Amino acid sequence: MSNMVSLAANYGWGPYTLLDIFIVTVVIGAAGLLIVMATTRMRTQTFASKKRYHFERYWAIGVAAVLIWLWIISYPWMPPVAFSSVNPGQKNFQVVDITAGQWFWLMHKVGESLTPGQTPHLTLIAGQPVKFVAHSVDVNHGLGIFAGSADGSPILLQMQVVPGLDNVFYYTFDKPGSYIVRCLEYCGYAHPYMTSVINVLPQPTGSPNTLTPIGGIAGGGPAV
Amino acid sequence: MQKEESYPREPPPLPQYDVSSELKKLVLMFMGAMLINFLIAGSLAIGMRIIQTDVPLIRVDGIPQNVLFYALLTAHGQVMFFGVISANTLWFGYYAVSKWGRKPLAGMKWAKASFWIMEAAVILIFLAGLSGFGAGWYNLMPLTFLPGHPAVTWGSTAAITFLVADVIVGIYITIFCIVIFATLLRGKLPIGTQIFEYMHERDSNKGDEVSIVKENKEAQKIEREFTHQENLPASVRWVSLIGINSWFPKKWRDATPAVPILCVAAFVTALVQIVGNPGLFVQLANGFLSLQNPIASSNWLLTKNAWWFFAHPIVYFPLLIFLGGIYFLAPRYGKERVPFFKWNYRTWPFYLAFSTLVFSHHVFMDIPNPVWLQMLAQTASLGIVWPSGMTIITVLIFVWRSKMTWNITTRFFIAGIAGWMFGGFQGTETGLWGTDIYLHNTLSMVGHIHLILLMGPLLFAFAVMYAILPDLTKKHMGKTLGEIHFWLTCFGGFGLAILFNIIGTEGAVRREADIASAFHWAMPYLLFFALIVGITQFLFVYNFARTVRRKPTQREVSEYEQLHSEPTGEGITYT
Repeated sequence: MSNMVSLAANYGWGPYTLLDIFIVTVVIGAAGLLIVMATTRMRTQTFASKKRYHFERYWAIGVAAVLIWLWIISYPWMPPVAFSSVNPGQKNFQVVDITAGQWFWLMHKVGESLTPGQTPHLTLIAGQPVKFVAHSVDVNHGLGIFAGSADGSPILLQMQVVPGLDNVFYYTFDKPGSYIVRCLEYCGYAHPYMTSVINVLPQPTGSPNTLTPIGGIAGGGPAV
Repeated sequence: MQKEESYPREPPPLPQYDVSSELKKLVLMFMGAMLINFLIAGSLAIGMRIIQTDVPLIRVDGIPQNVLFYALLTAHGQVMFFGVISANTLWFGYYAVSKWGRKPLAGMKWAKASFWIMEAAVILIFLAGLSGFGAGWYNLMPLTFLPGHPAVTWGSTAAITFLVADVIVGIYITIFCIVIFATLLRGKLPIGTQIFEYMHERDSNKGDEVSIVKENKEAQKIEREFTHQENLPASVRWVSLIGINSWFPKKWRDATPAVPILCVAAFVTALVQIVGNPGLFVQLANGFLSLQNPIASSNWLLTKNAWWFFAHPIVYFPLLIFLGGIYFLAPRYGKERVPFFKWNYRTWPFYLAFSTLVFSHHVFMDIPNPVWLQMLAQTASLGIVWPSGMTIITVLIFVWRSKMTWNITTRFFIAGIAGWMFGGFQGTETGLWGTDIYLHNTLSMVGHIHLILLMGPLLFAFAVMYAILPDLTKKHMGKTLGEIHFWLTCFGGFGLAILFNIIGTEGAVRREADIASAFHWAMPYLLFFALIVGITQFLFVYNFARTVRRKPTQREVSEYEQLHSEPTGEGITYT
């Protein structure tokens, strides 16, 4: 895992975990509010002012500490940091050029020619890092790759495709299979139908897959 | 810095102050218009839910249905933002600075103008919607400005109508901010010395608070009213109105005046939005230029960032003023004063700083943005959690220590805290770059925004409406209808928002007229919850209109006079 582009899900913070945390928060929060409401007339004080015990002070410090901790643990998930483990110069590096428009995805691996009648579905190799370079020919789009082939699969990754710029994202698919691509930014009345598929094949036996974690590239620049 | 003696600690509190009848009338006009806008915009949302539920008798298959869905979505979002929740900020902001600033509203004519300008903007948004304009409430260019493009179903007239509406939105919000500044930055303000120790020492065995006060010398200098009004020097006024002085060392705090926390809330609200407003005008200017010369390429990333620089503060615009409102509601029904407690004030400088930058989950997804901006945005997104958490805990501790009466008003504000808390928690998840990529532009964001805005400030606004309508009209709203309004709004609103959250986190994409088949099961439930919320608001509007139109009963007149004759009657509404 260390030589792959890892996002939050690889650290156990995937969408289902977030949903669980949210539901637990709602349940505990609602219970806490009900307890406050139910005991408001009890007229007992645990936050004794005589002792000058200021709960707010400790709460303030506690919340700030949790937020700082969140900032620190989320640092490796940030794309510029996650991308820094990628070495674009290595072997088996896959570069995918994506053109987004109302309402299509044109995706092909750089170095492979598109022939008329060719399936628009992209085929990649598992375990080999991919550099997605997306640009839009008209309006804003959102490149969303879902973790499966069925409707209802959770999101694997996404980025906005802003017109006039190269929008770059690095990712390494670790599992073979089909991945649905959907547009995640409203782009007109046929936005729901702007879909495609990425097929990820197993890595051929004996294929080299060594990534050297050196400084990588993030962000974008003027369209070429 | 003025000396401590300049701000006497001794009672008596300031005499009663009532807002002018002109302002009361304006507040009622705002409330009425807001409710009409709410009903119409809510009906549009139910139309969206019907489309996604595939109701056979109504369904129109194919593209026209999608066009209709996006026109509804656009008008719904814009009117809810700029004709409903922002309208609440205007009427409560004007009322708050006059009532708790104890002075007539500066620029009453401009305040009235802001009402009519707001309504003009709302009408234009509806007209654009009727013309089929459906670029999304967030006006994501260049989609807005591509009339004539084969993939765009609306014409130039609809686009220009929408554009003008948003210009007018920017104007009326700017007018509001200037009226608030003009009222608070000139003339006298109610002030008092800030006291920081807790004083509500209670003991169920002793019972008598007076005896405890005698025991505790600290307590004697704690419970305090705003004792006088003073024309503060500019530097002291700014420091007090932003709440910065609450962070001063104790020695300086004692020599620094506190102003009513509702004045702080109104001031910070206006300050945040006046900083954000140029973002709207930059975005619209870029759109105008693009419309005039479609061939010229624009910097759409800058345009997008400019929009969110305006449009995320606009989320806090309806919220911040009502966070101040909590400090009016809690003591009023808890039968306690809230002291000049430093933690109540300490949050406001942070609201001001972070609200202007908390647009990170939009910046995140635009990878070409500079890394420093993304880092800053993540920091601000986490940073805004801190004052939010502090406000929640100070209010809940106060509520827990008080003898709160649980009526419609207080239940609405506790439910509002719940909505804001749950939505805010999810905002933390989207505030992290790594986890935002699983949530951004899914229906969980729709759930987040409905928790934050529908179940947050809107419930706070309902709470304040139930509370101050008797002050404005000397009449109470119907209790039974109020009870129904509370329970059904909470049931439908929380059901709607939480279900949006669940299916969104599972991968249901936002702004899809034709939702993925895996989530069709949820659509009838969403329609059900939306209908519950919608129908309930008709009851509320009926209750409101009936109350405003009828004459007060003798009992209501007596109650009103008694309330305002109590020595602490108005004082308890201060910080």
